[in-house]
Amino acid sequence: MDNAKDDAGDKSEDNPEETPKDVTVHTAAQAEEDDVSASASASGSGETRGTSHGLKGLASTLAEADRSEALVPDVGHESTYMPEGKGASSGPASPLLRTAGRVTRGVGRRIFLGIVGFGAVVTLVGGRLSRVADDTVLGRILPATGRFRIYSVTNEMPRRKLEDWSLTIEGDVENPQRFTYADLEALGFETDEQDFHCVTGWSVYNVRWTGIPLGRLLDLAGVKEDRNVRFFSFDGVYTESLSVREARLPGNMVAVALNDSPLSLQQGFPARVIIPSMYGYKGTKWVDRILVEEDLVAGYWVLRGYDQDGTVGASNGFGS
Amino acid sequence: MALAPEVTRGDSALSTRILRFDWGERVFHWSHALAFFLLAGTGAVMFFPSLSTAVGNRNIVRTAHEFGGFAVPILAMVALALSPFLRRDLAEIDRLDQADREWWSGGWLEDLFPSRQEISGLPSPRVPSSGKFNAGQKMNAICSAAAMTLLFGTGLVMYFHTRFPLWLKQGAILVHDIVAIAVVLLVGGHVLLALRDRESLRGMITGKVSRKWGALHHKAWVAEFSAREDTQNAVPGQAVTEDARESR
Repeated sequence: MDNAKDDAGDKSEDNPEETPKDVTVHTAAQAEEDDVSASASASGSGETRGTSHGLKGLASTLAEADRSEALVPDVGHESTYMPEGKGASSGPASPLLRTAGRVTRGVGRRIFLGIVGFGAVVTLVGGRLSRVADDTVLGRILPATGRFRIYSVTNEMPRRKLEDWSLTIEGDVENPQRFTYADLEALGFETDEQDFHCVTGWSVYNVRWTGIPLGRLLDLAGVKEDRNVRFFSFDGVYTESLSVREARLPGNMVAVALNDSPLSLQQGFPARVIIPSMYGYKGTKWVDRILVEEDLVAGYWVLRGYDQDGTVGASNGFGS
Repeated sequence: MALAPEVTRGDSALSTRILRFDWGERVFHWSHALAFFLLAGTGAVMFFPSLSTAVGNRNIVRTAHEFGGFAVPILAMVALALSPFLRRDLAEIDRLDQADREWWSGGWLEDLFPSRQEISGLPSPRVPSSGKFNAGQKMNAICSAAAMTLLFGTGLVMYFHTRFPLWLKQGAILVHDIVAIAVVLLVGGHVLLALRDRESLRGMITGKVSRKWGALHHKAWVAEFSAREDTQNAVPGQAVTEDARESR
C-alpha cells in the first residue's frame, strides 16, 4: 500500500478545514494557559506559566516534557485517517482516508458490552451451574466447586503433635472434661456426609466428616441450655461462638478426619469444629478448647462484619 | 510533496520522535500495572492453597486485594479526566478499519515478526497500514477493560457480602475466578509482546516513539503527522525540506 503516489498530487485537497493550529497538548490543568498561548508558533512550545505551584505546576511540567523534541498530535483535531463524525460507515474522503478503507464506528464498545453482558449472565446463573456441575467433569474444571480453599488468619498454621494435643471442655459446666485423641476414639467416631459452604461463595459438596458430635461432648460435660459456647483455636487468634442450642444442631461435630483421611495441617489437624448448617467461618480449625459461658462473645469474623448466626442461605445477605 | 517517502528515506528523516502517550496515559498505565500486580498477587494467595498456607493472614491479604480493586476504577476515572490523549485513543479503539481487517486475516504475522522489515528498513507492503493502534492492540484494550469491569462488578458482590444472596455470591466467585485467570494470561501476553518490541515499550515509558518505528508498525498514524506538520509549516510556494523538518 504505497501512500506516496496517492498523496503527492492531492495535498491541496486533504484537510480543507484545517487551519494551522498551535501544536500543543491540551491537558485539563493547562486549559487556561493554552488560551493565552493560542497564537503561539507552531513549533509547539507555547507560553506556559510552567513553574506555578503544586499539581498544576507538575502537570504543566510533565506536559512540557511531552512536547519537547517530539511531534505532538493536536488532540482537539479529529483524525484525518479515521474521522469520528462521519456515520457508521465512511468511505474515503481524502488520500489518507484511502488507507483506512471502510471505517466502522462503535465496534469496540459493542465487543466490550458483549463480553461484560455475557459475564453478567454467567454471574446470575453461576450459582445453580456450580451446584449442578459439581458431580460432573465440568465441576472439576470450574474453579468455584469441588475443592477447598484454605483460609487462615495467622502468619503460620499452628502445629501440634497428636500426643501433645487435647480438647478441653471447661467453664460453666458440671464436669469439666479433657479428651486426648485416644479418649475421643474410645467414645466411638461417627461419620456424616455434609455440604461445606463458604460465605464467599464456594462450596464443596458431599464431604465426609468423621468425629464426635458436638452435642455428645456437651452432654458429657453437662451444660445448661441457656448458656453459650466459645471455640478456641490453638493458633492463638481464631475464636467462634454459638448458643448451646445452636451447638446441639444435627451435623455439628468435632471432626478428626475428612473424606476418610485424618485432617491435614491445612485442614486443621488434629481436630476442627464443623457446623455444616452454617457457613464455614462458624467452625474452628486447630481447636483445643471449648468454653461454656453466660455471655455470647463474638468470634473472629463476626467482629469483622459477618453474621453471628451464619446459617447457610439465611444469613449474610438474604437467603439462597 | 510526497509524504510517505519522507518516512522511508534514510535515517535522518526518521530521527524525529512522535509523542504517542501523554504523561496522563503513562501515569495511568504504570499505576494500573502496579495495581494489577497487587491484585494478581493477593488473588493468587487466596486462590492457591499452597500460597494461602504459606502466607496466612487472610484478613490482611483480602484487605490489600480490596484496596487494589477500588484503586482500579478510581485511577481510570482520574486518567480519563486528565488525559485528552486517552479519550481520543479510546475513540480510535472503538473503530474498525480496513487495516484492522487485514491485520486479523494475517497481517499480524508480518507486524509482530518484522525481522525482514527491520533489516531492510523498508516497511513491508504486507503489514497493514495501521492507525495508532493495530487490531490486536485494540482487542487487548477492549478485552482488558471488559475483564476489569467484570472483576470489579463481581468483586463488589463479594465486598458487600451482607447484601447479596448466596446464589449470587456463588455466581460472582465463579466469574471472578475465571476472568482473573483469563486476564492474567492476557496481561502476560501483553508483557511478552512489550518486551519483544523495545521501541514500543519505550513509548509507554517516555511517551515518545521513533518515526521509523511508527513507519514500520503504524503507517497511517505516522502519515497523519506528516500531513499536518507539512500543512502547518508550509509557506506558500516553498517546499518543505528535510532541514526545515529537522529544525523543529
